[in-house]
Amino acid sequence: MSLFGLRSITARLAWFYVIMTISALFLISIILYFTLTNIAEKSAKQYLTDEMDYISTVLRKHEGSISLLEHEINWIPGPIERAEEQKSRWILPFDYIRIIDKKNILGETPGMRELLPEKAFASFSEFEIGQYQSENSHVFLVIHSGLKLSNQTTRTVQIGLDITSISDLLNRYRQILLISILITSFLIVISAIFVARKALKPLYELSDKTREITAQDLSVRLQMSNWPVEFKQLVDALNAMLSRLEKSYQRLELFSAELAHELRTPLNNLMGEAEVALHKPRDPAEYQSLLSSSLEEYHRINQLIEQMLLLAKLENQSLPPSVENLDALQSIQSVLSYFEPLLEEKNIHLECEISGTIQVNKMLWQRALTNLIDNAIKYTPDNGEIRLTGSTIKHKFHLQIQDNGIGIAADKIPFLFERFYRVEHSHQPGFGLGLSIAASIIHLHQGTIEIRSEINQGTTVIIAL
Amino acid sequence: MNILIVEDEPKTARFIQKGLSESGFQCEIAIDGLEALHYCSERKFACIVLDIQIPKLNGWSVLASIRTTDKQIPILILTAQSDLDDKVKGFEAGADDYLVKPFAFSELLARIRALTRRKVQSISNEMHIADLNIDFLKGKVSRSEQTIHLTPKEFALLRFLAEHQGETLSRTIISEKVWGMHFDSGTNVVDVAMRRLRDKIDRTFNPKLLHTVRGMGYKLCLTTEV
Repeated sequence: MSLFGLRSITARLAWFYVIMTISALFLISIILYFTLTNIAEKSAKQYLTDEMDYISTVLRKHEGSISLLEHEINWIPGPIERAEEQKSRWILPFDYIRIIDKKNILGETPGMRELLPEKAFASFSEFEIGQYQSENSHVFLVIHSGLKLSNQTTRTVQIGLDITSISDLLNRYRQILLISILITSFLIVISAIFVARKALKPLYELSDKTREITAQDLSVRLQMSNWPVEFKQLVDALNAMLSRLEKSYQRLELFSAELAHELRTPLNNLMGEAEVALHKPRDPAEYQSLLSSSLEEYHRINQLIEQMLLLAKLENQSLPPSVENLDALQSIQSVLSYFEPLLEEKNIHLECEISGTIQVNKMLWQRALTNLIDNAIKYTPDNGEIRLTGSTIKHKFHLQIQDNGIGIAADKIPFLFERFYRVEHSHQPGFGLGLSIAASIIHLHQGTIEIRSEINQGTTVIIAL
Repeated sequence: MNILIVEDEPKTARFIQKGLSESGFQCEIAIDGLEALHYCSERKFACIVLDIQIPKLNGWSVLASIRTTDKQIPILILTAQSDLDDKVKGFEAGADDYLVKPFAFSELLARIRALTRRKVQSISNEMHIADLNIDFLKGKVSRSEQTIHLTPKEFALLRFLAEHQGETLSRTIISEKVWGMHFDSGTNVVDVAMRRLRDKIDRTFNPKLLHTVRGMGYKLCLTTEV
């Protein structure tokens, strides 16, 4: 299972989780870092600005005299502070101050000459706070300004703030942040994979369970009890599919059994007749007779198989093959003309009131009609009447085939469309498949078929298509 | 006339050959697609009976191949598939006729005869068999000078039998050619129709012309030929 292809749910979940979490992590770290940096910077700059203000004010007030500022200027960290410095590398932020008049340095913090020569301030404009790195790699924030005093003298003030320690602090902080992010990211990735896999474990278990179901035992159903709620839909769908499969299999088995059964009789005839005939020599006429009889049985078997195959095929399809528009009256009349001889024989009166067009597969429709009309004729006595009425109502074609024949008992009606069902057994030729085939054809065209009948009153077949 | 039988199942090939040769045709048998094409390239046949399920090169390919060089030769295909769409496919691919296995031999014979009939037919407008007279143009039938009234379908039935005089015609082929029914309807309409026709043109006359061939079908011929 590839974790880098996004076709895996595990991979997708894991990647999503990882990316979101690490992004959040980065975002927080960046915010924290820059906030801290910002605060530190602001306070340092504020200090410098305040210091400059203070010194400028004092100078103005005292006409440029630095006497009151001498303590401020000359203060440097003492031995105690130095010792602390050795221990912790922490230098208290303090500033170097230089005050100059037109040409002379009036006052300067000791050590400033080496660390912050005058040129350090040169590249910055007045009141602009800049950053400068001294020769001993200390970092300073610098500011300078020029003052014009009331007595026409000028004073230039240069202040530098040692922010090395702050800078160091921030660097260390950044380093630690980065390392933490890396370690945490790594942990996140690992945990993501682990969690995703674990979450999908039920899916693999379900697959295993499903694999166990074979054609041998389709009555098995998956139980919902142990699976997570999200699987309910899947489990239900699988169970429904199993039901459909089971039904199909059952139908298939039944079909084969019925076919085999129906074949027994003709086969029995064939075998029996042949065996008896072979008992002793017979004359050619007898053999001819036997062969003719056998041929008739072969035709019967052939017909049976053909009809069964047609039924099987019809039931397996969901849509009829090639459908065309037919004029209802024409199609029905051509079938009726086929039955002319029979109708005339029995002197059956035929009435036909049909209009409309239908969308059907021509051959199948012909077949269904043939079977139904054949039935109607069969069960109508001599001098009887058959009426066909058909019209289109609300996009559906309704056809009624009504005869005034012997009718069918009410308790037999539900079975009429079943395979091999014959109302009067073995009186009529045929296998009892005619109505099944007709019904299958109608259903294939998404239509309905219904039979209503009363003994001695007649039968009506109602089709909606 | 020469007929090429392309069929790999030996018993089938044999009975077709036997039946056809006893009916006056000369037959060659090819047992696979390649052999069939080989025969076709060597000789001219009056008709080809082609089974679809054959080894080496299947029937469809053979059909297509023959049709590229010869569009005229009548080809009848045999198949075990009764798919409605297969029929259309067959005709579109260039077949002239189509039979589903198992088929009645009489049907095969009737169809081959129809396919090999001389195209330039002397279609006479009249037919005389014994004392039966059929006028195709006028649609009149008479026997021994007596006019007989037939319904249009009865006339069509008689005509079909007369045109295939001496041939046994199965119920299936009669249903198909006279009524346009392309399946075995399992009804006895043809029997009843024949009975009525017989009543009209044969019952009160001699010699009897309409004969039932048990297990196979019907034929129209003089009694001596049965």
